[in-house]
Amino acid sequence: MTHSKKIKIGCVVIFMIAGIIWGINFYCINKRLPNAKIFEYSKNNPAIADGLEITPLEKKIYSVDEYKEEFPEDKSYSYLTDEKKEHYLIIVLKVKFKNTTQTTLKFEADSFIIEAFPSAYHNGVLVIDGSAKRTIEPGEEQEVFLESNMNDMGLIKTKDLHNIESNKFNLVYSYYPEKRMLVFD
Amino acid sequence: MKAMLKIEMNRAFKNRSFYLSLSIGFSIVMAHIIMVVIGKSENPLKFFGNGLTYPYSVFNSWIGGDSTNPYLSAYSTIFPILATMPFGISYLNDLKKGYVKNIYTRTNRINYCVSKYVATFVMAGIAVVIPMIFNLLITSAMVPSLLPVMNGMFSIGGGNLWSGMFYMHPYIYVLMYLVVYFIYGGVFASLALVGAFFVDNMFLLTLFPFIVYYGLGLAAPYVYKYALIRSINPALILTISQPSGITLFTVIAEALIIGVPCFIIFIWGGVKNDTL
Repeated sequence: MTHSKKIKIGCVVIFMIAGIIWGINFYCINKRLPNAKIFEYSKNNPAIADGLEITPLEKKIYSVDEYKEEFPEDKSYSYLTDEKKEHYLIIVLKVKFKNTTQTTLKFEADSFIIEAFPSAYHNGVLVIDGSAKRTIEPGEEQEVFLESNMNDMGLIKTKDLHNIESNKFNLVYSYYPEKRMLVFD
Repeated sequence: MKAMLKIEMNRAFKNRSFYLSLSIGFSIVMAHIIMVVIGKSENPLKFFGNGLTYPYSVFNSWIGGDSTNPYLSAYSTIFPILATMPFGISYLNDLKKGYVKNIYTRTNRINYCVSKYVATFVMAGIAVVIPMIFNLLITSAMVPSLLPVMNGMFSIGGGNLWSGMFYMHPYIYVLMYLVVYFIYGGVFASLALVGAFFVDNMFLLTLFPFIVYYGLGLAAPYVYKYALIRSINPALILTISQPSGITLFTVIAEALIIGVPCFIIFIWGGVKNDTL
């Protein structure tokens, strides 16, 4: 056997051993921490979290002017110039919370992240009407309007902004070990 | 042509500069593994609390996943030098040593020039991509391959290039970006081939692609306002986590605007060059 052939065989053996070690490690780490299981909740299948029943009711997408007309009390977007307004859309989500326990509960109504697929738009949400920190009595129901803005200056591509209606919108409240989200059709 | 290409590829693989380039690249990615990845692998759940938090994933732990790490900055800064070292200056070397005279008496000039261009392009691509793949493989064996989520731990926003792909099929996204790395490596190395017609000094020639690379970075802010173009800074284009807006148009156009003229000038210049 020539010297170069010995080197080649040595290299192949080393690569094979490295590959096996890599494969075992890859398998073990991904078995220990696998991808999150996905749980989707809808209008007919509400989520229950810590005794709070959460139901996604409605999704609407507004231009800045439409939004101002619909929610005149919210001055969040009054700073936008006419030119900038064209680059913005505002998504409003209506969510119902119901206390299913026998005790008074406190919760934060804006503890969500909004995601849209396939555009990959994502952002936080804000409560439009009143405070995010809420108290809810046993059996009580509260409907909350949440808003989030999307603009094509970083949050979303311009072409996706114009085709946003075709996206699937989720309101995520847990990512791991289970991904739990409200789905708005 | 095929025989010439085989000879050039053989020469390239036996070139010590190729291994020097690889070892510099490997030093950077190994430093990243030692300083960053090992720490994350010890406890991927370190900052995981509940609700909207998330464990560490390969896609925000490997060298390409976090634009703020200094190792990626170092890698992308010397990127054109890593690409040029393997075979970029070999044409000037061949001219100086008279190697081309021997070749031109045996084969068509165009065969040699095309083979030289292809070998340089491919070797540059390999030299810049292999350390990145190595880092990704090692990281993927130490940190879980959890799908990226949109809670802010992953820097790709909805406005970024291929963002949908990143969140749904992150390994394909990385693969697509490594193709960009390969092409940009080849393109910047080909600048050195053309530079050989104007520069007679090995050291300056190695730095020539770096000067163009750096120059584009300096010019970038002046064209950023154009939505179709955005950043033309190659260092930012090659930052996989995309801290700055880049467009597919710019990624392709920049590679073509540099690569195609380089190819034409090199082939035309190489054939016309009065060497004999």
